[in-house]
Amino acid sequence: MDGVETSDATWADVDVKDEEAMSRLSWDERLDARVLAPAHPGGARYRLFIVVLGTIVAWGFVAFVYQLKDGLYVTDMRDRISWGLYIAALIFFMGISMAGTFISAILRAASADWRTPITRMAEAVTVAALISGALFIIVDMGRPDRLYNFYFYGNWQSPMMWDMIAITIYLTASVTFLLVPMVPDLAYFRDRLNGRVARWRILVYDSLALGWEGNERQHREIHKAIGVLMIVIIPVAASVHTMLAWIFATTSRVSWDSTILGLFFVTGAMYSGIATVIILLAVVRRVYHLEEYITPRHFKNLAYLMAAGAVLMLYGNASEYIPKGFKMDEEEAHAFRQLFVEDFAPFFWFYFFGGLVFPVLVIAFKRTRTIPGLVIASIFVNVGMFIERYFIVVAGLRVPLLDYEPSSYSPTWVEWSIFASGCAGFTLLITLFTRVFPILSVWEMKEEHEYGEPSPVPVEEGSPA
Amino acid sequence: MSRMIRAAMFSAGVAALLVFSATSAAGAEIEAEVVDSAEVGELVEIEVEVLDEAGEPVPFILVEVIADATIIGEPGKVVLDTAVTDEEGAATLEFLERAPADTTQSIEVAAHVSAEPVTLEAEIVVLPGPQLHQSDAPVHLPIFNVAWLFVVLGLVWAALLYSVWRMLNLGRAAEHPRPLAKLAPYVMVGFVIFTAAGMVLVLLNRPQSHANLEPGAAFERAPGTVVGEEHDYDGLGFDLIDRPLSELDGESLYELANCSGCHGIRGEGAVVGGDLLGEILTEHDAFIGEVRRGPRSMPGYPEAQIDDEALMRMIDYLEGDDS
Repeated sequence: MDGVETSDATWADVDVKDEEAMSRLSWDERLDARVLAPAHPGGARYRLFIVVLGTIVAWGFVAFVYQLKDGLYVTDMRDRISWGLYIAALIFFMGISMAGTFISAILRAASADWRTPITRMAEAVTVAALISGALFIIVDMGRPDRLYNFYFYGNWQSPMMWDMIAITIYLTASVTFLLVPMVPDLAYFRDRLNGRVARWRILVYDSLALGWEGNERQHREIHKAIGVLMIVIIPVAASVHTMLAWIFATTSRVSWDSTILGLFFVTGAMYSGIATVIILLAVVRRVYHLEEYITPRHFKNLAYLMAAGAVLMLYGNASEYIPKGFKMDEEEAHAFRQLFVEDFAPFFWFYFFGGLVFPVLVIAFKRTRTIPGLVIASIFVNVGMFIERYFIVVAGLRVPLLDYEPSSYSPTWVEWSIFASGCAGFTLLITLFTRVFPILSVWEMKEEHEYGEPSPVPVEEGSPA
Repeated sequence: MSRMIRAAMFSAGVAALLVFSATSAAGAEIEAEVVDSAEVGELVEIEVEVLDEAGEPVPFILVEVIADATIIGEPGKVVLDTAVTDEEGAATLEFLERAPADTTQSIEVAAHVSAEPVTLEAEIVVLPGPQLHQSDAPVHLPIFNVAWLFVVLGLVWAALLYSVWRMLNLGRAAEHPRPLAKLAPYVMVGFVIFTAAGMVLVLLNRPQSHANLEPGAAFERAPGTVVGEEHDYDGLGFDLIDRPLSELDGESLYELANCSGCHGIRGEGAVVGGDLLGEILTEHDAFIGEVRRGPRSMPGYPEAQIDDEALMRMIDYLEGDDS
């Protein structure tokens, strides 16, 4: 099935938008047509989309150069509130990057067959989010050129150092975890697209396909590699989010003084990661006409996982705030007041009701558990989780350590520009990925189809369950 | 080992114990056993006994040991420890010796028998000793140390390497070898080895922490400045970090030897370090001697690290002669 095949395939002659013609093809041919279609040059709308994203990224770069020139003075970060939007964005993107690990590795380890068509996108989200997130570390540094000090003079007694080590391992592992299961699909692209797309792309496919022919021994090797990777990446991902949390938890700040912060970050990461994958799958499904493979069943299953995440987050909030509020030390009272009734109250209650309660309600009722409903819920999850990260960082720093007036912070245009640039960069990376690389795990889907394992059965649109 | 030495020294100190006593106006008497010398960092114990005019022990009253101290440049007094006498009128006061080495510390033991406490004064010669700012954890778990971090990191990287190594086999298993495809698995293996080597580099380059140990180049620190203040771009700092301290100009030396961290941006003094300009830096030779010795918790800087000429350049900078 992965054999070298260069004869004129039927997939090339069919317009993927022509449902009538598509239905006449066999299952294999239809999959070919669907998966290979995005590799062709995009239309005007696609180009406009890329230009818009590129412009936002470029604008962020201009803002970054301005910040480099004048220093962090151009942000609103000062001595008392010394972390702001950048660090919130760092945690947010790192959180999203949990998606690939959770959906791909954990479901793979649990042999959940339904995951097959969605793993590739989840793994791509991991890498893209990790790159976008890690860049915010550099952006937050007043002198980014001194990053080399981390490597040459790093003090490993510092939680920052642990975080750097964890992120480096995670980036290495997740890039490997994206590439290795993609090898057979890259060979498939190499063979099918030869002579149909630009030469450089075939060169990329050829080198990354590692000489895959689909023989017995190669299958054995790749399954061994994936088997080890999927186990390794789970604790590595957990360590990244834990270390990120420990940077806060090991700092003497009232709001961060928590033993469950690591667990809380891991849960939050899983939660927002799943939400991101839901949004992305809905977009990819629609744009590339993948309704046959990414079915309402996938959305339903992901939604249930997301609901579990929301419930865990609610539980985490309860176990964080109720015992602290019961004792209510003097500093704690200040933290509680600003979070629940004063400055940060709109943020907190939006996060609580919009980001945690509302998505659970959407998922709970069959009438709202549709794909559009779930996308809206996922957007709320992501906005809510971003706001949570923001108030963890800023509200935590705002509680005075000594008897002075609480400081204030509101991001400047430079910070907003760079943040927007980060979001656009993430979207751009994902978009380019879908145009260049196979977005479905074709070989695994075909394997399942061939061996009669449950292949995704089309379910009536908009009515999962 | 150092604990045993310290215990031995303490025993020797007991032989030289001096017994002080004082009597209040009301006739109450306080008796205290104070060592005549103590090392920096040593736990000093003072046995106190309080008796009333009839010579009977006074139970359940507050006793304290007070020392002269300079607090943010102001002379003052600091309570080192407090205790309450037992039924025999006895109490033990203890404190860590934090006074500068080679000085004499004046202490005062006070017993609050009435509104006017009865006090006695004593002096302790402070000997050089291990400094107090080492990272000495109060709880030691002999097996649970950071070496396990290496083991865990090593295992993770081994697993990653195993996976990419399998990719090498993948290419070998091909019946129709593709020249281009041969390179990529090596790149993948190389990538994993490169990041792993990066981490090894990090761990090997770790600096020793805190005072007392020679602060290497690792203690590079960005010059302190005030928000909004204009500064010229001084390059990427590669040259600064690798240059020996002795080769730096006065300003860079003041920053990179971490003086500013305690003594303020231009030596004006701060919470931890004293005012260099007004008080400490009066006589150049004495100042250089202090820097070499490292008073209190300040690390000493031997000549091998910063030579006299470099220190003179720093003095010129602090005194404003180089501008």
